[in-house]
Amino acid sequence: MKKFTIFSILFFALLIINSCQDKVYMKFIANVPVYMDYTSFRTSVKYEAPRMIKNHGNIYKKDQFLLIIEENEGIHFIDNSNPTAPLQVGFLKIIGCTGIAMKDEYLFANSYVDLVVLDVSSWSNPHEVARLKDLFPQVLPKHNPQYRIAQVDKNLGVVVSWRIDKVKEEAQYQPVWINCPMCLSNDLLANSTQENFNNTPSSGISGSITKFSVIDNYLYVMDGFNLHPIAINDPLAPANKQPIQIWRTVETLFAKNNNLFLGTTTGMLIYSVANPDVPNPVSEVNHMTACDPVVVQGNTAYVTVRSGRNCGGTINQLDVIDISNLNAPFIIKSYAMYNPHGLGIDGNILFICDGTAGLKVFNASNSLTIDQNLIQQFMNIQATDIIPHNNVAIMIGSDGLYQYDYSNPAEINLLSVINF
Amino acid sequence: MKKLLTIGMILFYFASIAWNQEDKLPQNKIYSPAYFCEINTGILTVGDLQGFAHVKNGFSLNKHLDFSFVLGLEGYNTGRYLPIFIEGRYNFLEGKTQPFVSFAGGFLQVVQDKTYYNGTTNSKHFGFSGGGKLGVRHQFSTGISIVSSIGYRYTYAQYEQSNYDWWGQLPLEPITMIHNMNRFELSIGLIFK
Repeated sequence: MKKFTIFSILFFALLIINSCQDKVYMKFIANVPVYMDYTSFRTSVKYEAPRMIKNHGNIYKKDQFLLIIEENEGIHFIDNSNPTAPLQVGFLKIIGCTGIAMKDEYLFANSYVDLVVLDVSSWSNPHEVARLKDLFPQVLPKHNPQYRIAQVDKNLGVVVSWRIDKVKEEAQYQPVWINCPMCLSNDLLANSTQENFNNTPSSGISGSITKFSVIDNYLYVMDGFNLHPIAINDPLAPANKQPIQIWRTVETLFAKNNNLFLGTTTGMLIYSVANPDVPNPVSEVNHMTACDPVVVQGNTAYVTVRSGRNCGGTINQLDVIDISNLNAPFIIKSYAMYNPHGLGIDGNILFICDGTAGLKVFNASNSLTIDQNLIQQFMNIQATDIIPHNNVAIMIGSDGLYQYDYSNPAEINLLSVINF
Repeated sequence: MKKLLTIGMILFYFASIAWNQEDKLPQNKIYSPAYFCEINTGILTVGDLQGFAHVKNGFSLNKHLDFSFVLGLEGYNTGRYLPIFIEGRYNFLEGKTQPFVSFAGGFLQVVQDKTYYNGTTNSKHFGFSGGGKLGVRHQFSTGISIVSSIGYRYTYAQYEQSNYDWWGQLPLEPITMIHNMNRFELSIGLIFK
């Protein structure tokens, strides 16, 4: 009996111990999510008094108004009826906004995980009229790249910011990498810096650094590796179509006719939207890894290729690409640049925001001699993006919004500056 | 599993033999307060199967209580460690054969790193371990006893991992890895007094 008891005890002890699996934890300093509950988040869009521009994102022109994104916070409204005296008239608070596009009187903006539609028929009273919820489910605010990201629980709400703190989490088999090109969805839509001349008159004009583009009744939004076609024929009921996977790091979208030109870190892709629900790849022009906004005029695409910590690569140049045959585009010529960001073209006048080298204006009538036709260079400006339209070039830099009159290309004049 | 059963059977066999031994030795030889040395070997299993060896130097306070200082070598999936333990043992009964219960715990100093960064970032690698055992010891000749036991061991191991971004360039804050391990301990050994 005694032996039986001992055996039984040993047997049960063995069973209990066997059920105790090893547990592995990771303790680290991390970006810890700060949540906002869904109700507060989805009722937060509000038009407010104008405020200082601090952390600017894309620029967008619509009629006499100029919109400047304050990254992750909202949109500055600037009345630009008189480019010599632009006036900040208000601020539209949209939490998590990094990209915008317009069709008629409707403004489409991302708000972290959602896409918001606003009626701006009255510029003094923009208001939300529709929302596509969870269109970008993986979007998170920008984080401090020095630290990993702690576990996110979406049941607690929308992640609206991060705090740096020490956390202890059960070890995951798939660690959250930092600066991983396949994990850029963490900063989805952020820092898009592309200039977009939408090809429908009802749309506005975007800078070259954008991931939003409108073609007819479709809005295209680049979200990480997903290209979302969204039907907006009824802006009050936008319909998300099946996203297309683009297995490259897409930085900018440019719409021209029935084509989308995608500036990726490894080249320019051309997608046809003949079937607007299902964009189809047409062709591509590859280059070394770098950042590259693209603009198109006629049969020529202009791509600035920039290196840097976030872009990789070591090249800084302007690629001029012949796209007369969309199925077989080829580089006509490359020109060395300093650190080119956004760019814009109007007629033969090519504007290049060349980082700390300032704004460079070229006559691009001959694609083979662009470097020999520098019209003017504006130094001492950290130029990032530009919209040249109707003889006024609206350029955004690190320290302000500059407007130039280029009605006489030989004598480009500064019209006004709004300092940040 | 077969190996585990075999070891269990052997231990049980030793214990049974010890249990049935006739007491032929004078009591005062067994229980007099004295220093002792013990060598132990065995396995730590469940989730992992590793061996260990201990050398204990201790002092018997009276018929029932022993205290010892333990050094040795223990294996876990995170590495091999030098245990530096204190052990207390309470011996039941007063014959040549004594069942006992013991508790031990202390520090683990890594001697061989087996983590992902094998040997490169083990400067902050250490652990703690502690547990309890049930066993039997039997004195089969003057000054020598055989001891076998079965028990539970909890082990905490901690080490730092270097941490880089995707490109392997940007050094990030290191990550502290913590392993909580539960082990089933089987041992056999000799006591020299």
